[in-house]
Amino acid sequence: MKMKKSLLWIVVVVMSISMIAAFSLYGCKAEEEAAVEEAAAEEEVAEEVAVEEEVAEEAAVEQIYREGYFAGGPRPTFITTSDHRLDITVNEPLVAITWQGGLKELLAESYEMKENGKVWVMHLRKDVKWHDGEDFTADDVVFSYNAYANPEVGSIWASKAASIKGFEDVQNGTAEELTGIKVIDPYTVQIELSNPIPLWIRIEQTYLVIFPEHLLGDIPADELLGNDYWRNRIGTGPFKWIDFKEDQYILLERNEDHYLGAPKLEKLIYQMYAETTTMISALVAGEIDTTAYEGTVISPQEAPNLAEQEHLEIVKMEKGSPAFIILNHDKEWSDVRIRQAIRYAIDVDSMLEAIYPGAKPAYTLLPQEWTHPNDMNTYDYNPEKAKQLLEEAGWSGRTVDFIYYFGDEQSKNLVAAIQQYLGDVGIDIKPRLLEGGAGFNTAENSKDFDMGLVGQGMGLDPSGGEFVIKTGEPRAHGYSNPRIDELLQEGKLLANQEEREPIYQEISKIYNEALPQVPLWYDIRFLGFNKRVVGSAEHYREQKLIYFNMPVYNEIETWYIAE
Amino acid sequence: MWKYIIRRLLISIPVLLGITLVIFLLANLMPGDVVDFMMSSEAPMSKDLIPQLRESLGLDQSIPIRYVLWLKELLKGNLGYSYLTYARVGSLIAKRILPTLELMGISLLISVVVGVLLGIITALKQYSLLDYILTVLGFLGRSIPIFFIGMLLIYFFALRIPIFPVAGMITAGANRGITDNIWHLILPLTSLSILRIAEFLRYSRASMLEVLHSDFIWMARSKGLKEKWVIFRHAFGNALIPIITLLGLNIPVLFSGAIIIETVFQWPGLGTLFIFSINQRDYPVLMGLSLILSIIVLLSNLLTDIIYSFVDPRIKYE
Repeated sequence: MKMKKSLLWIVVVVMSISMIAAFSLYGCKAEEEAAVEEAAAEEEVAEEVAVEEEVAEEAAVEQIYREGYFAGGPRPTFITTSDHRLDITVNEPLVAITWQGGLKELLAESYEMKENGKVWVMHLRKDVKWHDGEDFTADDVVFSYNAYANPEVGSIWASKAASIKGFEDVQNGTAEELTGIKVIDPYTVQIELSNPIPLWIRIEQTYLVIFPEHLLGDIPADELLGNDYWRNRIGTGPFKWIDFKEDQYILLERNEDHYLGAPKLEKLIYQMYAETTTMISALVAGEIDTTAYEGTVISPQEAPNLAEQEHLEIVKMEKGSPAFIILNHDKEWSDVRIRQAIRYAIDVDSMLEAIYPGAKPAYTLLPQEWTHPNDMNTYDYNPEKAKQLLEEAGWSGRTVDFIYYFGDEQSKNLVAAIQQYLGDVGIDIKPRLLEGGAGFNTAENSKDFDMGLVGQGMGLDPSGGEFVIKTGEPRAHGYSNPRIDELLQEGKLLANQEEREPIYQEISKIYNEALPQVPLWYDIRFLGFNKRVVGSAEHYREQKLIYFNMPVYNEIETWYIAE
Repeated sequence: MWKYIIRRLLISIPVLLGITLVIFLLANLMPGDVVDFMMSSEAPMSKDLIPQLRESLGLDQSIPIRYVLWLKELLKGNLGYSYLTYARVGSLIAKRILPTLELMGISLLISVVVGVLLGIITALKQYSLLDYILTVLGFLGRSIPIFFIGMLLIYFFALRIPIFPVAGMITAGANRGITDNIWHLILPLTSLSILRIAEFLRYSRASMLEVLHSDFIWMARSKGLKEKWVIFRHAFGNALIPIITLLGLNIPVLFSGAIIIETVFQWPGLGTLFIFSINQRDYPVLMGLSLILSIIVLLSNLLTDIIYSFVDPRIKYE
């Protein structure tokens, strides 16, 4: 017994020692890394003294800006949705959309539009260097655009290069490169489209980010997304990628040589969080300065509480995305009276007031105000009319399978309210909460549903609405209106808002009466900012609308921390 | 004894295969796959792209073929690549083992030492005030959901009274070495340990009580042995036997990580990797993790059984 007992103790002691050893080994490594970084940082401090003399007051305050970021990233730009922060801080497009909705020439210092938007000549900046010292040239542009179009790379943003001549050939494998892209000289690229699109620079080019040909050009296309480059990016932007700890943070430092001038911020840290509640706690505790830009972090119920915190500013943004009920047109929804009945049956105003304060009701698909004609039907709450329409149309009274995927409290309440309203007029829905992403998309794509509630980012421009109502598009779910298709095509080909207004207003009017989907409200999002950052909240307040899935230029090189 | 060990190891191999097969089947039965996840409802996307992406990831093949392919790669020593980030599964796991071990290991150590100690004390002082207080606290510790404890701790000790950081393992951009690490460790460690101290307390108390009332203890006392000798020499050792089982069961947990606590505190360990791979239908990562965990479970069960036979001479293996 004595022998066996000591064996047991030996095992226990050995286990404990190995655990402690593992811990201290890790700790030692961390200290080593810390020592190395401190040495490097000290070197940089000496260099930065010159820069900081310009901003003498801020020199006393650490210029470190921390932004909340969703864990699980960062993903390669080619396949990422709702996460393009790195594409304006580390990498850049040629011309970017600005927070005011205008355009800012970044890697292209100027551009020319020829033949009413069929040919574009991009004049690149000549003094730009990648963060590793190599020169930025036209080769990088050609490489990047071709990578977007290449089916072996598999970018989900290939559609943004679809208008360039030669796209179909690259897609079906008969060509390796887009014929529409020509290098005129090392700093001039000519891009020819298949058709004239005067707004191309704004509605498609702004999504395409430039990557280094000298680092990625020789990698086989199907291995591009797996390359380590995405965990240690080299770019041309105002910040350089310094360090990345999985699921913890990405550390960026200022790029002294950036062509717009060295940023005032010394470091930019994307702090990762898997839980939105943790991110909000971190914002309140001052551990981060702003919440994640493209994700839902702060709910409308939390927003007023957070706004009361003295050190925080909460900005309400339009998400630019309507929430609407999708209908599987393969099933019984072909009678427009039934669809209108649905809209009359739901008291959107009361529902929003009670559950989703701040959101505005929607009467048509496109969120941009200039696309709304004055004479739309506002479908004021009228259950009697709804019942009447249903009777006229011969509604069968069957139970309806209703899918949705936002599992948060607010969405559940909204769905419950919809269920109540529709039930009152005789449409009995059975809501089914599906897992966002995989579950919901599968059901939607395989048409395994009757009705569903979705939000759809319309993007910057009303032409983004194509995805939802054009014949044959996935989200149209069987609906087809040739007149709308015509108008959508026309709208893309015109140059300025005045000319496009009547077209999109006509689309809105047709939609408003035909209701291929039933639009309910326009979503809003709240962003939180710590007041000690000068520049962030100011720009977002002016921006008002969230531009999804694209890099947005908002003068981050001018932001700084005041105290 | 050696025959027994070898036999156990040999049986483990088909068991392991069986486990991976079952997990693979179950994972694929979940609706949707990683391509569905990649397509956000907020980004307009072309529908031609979906089959293209599926093909490039090999998802268009049937389930048995995919399983066999995975097995083939495995035998070559290749755990595969994540569908979502394209990183090597092996390196994804390797990067996160240490943080999980750190958190879980220290938590286990503290829980065992404190839990067993308290359990034995309360057993010796049965029906005393201390016993009642600790029993109630233990009950509370086991009943309160762990994420709630975590969030309570964040609220009180990171927000209300800002002593500790809200989340994360180290402070980004300001590496301060071990002390920074420990400072970040305290809140998640406390949340985890509360539950496990309660667990160890309960088991060791029950076990100690049982031993204290057995015949040979009564015999030792009637022989006239000093009380301390009775407790530490005779009772303690025997009471520890169920604790060994508990420890053995806890070894796999050392590696699987506390998924909930890791998520709440943004601790970059295997737990968060697990939950991501499930949500995102990232099969290669899921399979890699499951394989490693299964191996650990099987090995630790074997280890526990062996230690058992050393500790308790009544148990013999042929």
